[in-house]
Amino acid sequence: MSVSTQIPSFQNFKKIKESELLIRLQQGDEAAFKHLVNTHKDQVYNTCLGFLRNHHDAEDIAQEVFMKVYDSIGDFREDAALSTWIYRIAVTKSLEQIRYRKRQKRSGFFKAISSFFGNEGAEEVDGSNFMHPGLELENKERAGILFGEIEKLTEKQRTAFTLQKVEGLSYQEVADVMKMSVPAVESLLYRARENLKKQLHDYYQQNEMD
Amino acid sequence: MGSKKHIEHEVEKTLHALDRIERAQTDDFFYSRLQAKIEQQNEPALPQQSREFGFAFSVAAVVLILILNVASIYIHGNYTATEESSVVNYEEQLMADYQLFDLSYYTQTEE
Repeated sequence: MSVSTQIPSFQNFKKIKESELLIRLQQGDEAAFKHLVNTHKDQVYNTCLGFLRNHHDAEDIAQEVFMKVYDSIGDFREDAALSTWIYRIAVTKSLEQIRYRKRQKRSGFFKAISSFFGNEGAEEVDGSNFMHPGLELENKERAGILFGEIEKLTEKQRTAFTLQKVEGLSYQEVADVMKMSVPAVESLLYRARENLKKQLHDYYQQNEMD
Repeated sequence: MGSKKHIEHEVEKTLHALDRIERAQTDDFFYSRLQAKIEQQNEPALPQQSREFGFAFSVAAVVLILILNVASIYIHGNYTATEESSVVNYEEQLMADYQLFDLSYYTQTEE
C-alpha cells in the first residue's frame, strides 16, 4: 500500500500559523498560495477599488498584486505581517496605476481627445460614474462626491485616508502599511480631513451658486 | 447665514459618508483567473538561440527573394531575345515547308 503525499486542502490551512504558511509558500506549495489568495483577495480588491474607483482596473491590479506576491514570496522577511506586506503591494500598485493614468492623460493623443470633448480628464469622468458596492444606498451620492475630492489629496494623505476609511484599518495598521509612526499617521489623517473639509466647502458653495 | 450653516452641515454629512462602508468582494473565480494569468506569464519565452535562428532565417529569406528576382529578370530578358529570333525563323520555315511564295511577289506584279 502506497502512502499518498496529499496536498492539504484549503480548509485544512485555516489553523495553520502564518510562519508555517510562509514556509509552504516559499516552497512553491500551490494549495498554500490558493489559501493565501482566497484569504486576502477581498482585502486587496477593496483597497485597489478605493484607490482606482473602477471595477475593471481594481480586478486587474488585484491580480497583479498576487502575481507580485507569487514572484517575490521568497524575498519576504518576517519584519511585518504577511497581510501588511500584501497591503503595501496593493497600495504601491494602485498608486502606480493612478500615475500611469495621469501620464496617459497628459500625452498628446489623449489630451487632444479629452479637450475635443471638453473633458478635463478621463479619471474624473470614470470616477463620477463609480459606485462602491459596499455603500448604503442613502450615502452613494455623498460618497461619490467625497471620492472625487479624495483624489485631489496628496498621495500620502490619500493613502492614509483610503486605508482608514475604505478598508477600515486602525491607525496602527495604517502606520505599519505606510512604514510610519502612529503620530505621523494621525497628523496625515488630520490634514487630509481638513483639506477635504475645505474642498467640500468649495464644492457645495459652487454648487449652491450654480 | 443659513446658507453657510447648511453648507457646513452638508460637508460634515459627506465627510462621514464612508463611515459604514462594507468591503467590496471579488467573485469565486478570482483564483482561476489569477492562475491562468500566472501560467500565461510563466510560458517560456523564445530562447536566445531560436531568436538568432529567426533572424538568420529572415535574412536568408530576403536574400533568396532578391536572387529569385534577379534571376527572373535575367531569364525574361534572354527569353524575349530568343523569342524574337524564333519568330523570324518560324516564318521562313513555314514558307519553306508549305512552299509558299513571297507575298511581296503579288504586290510587285500588280504594280
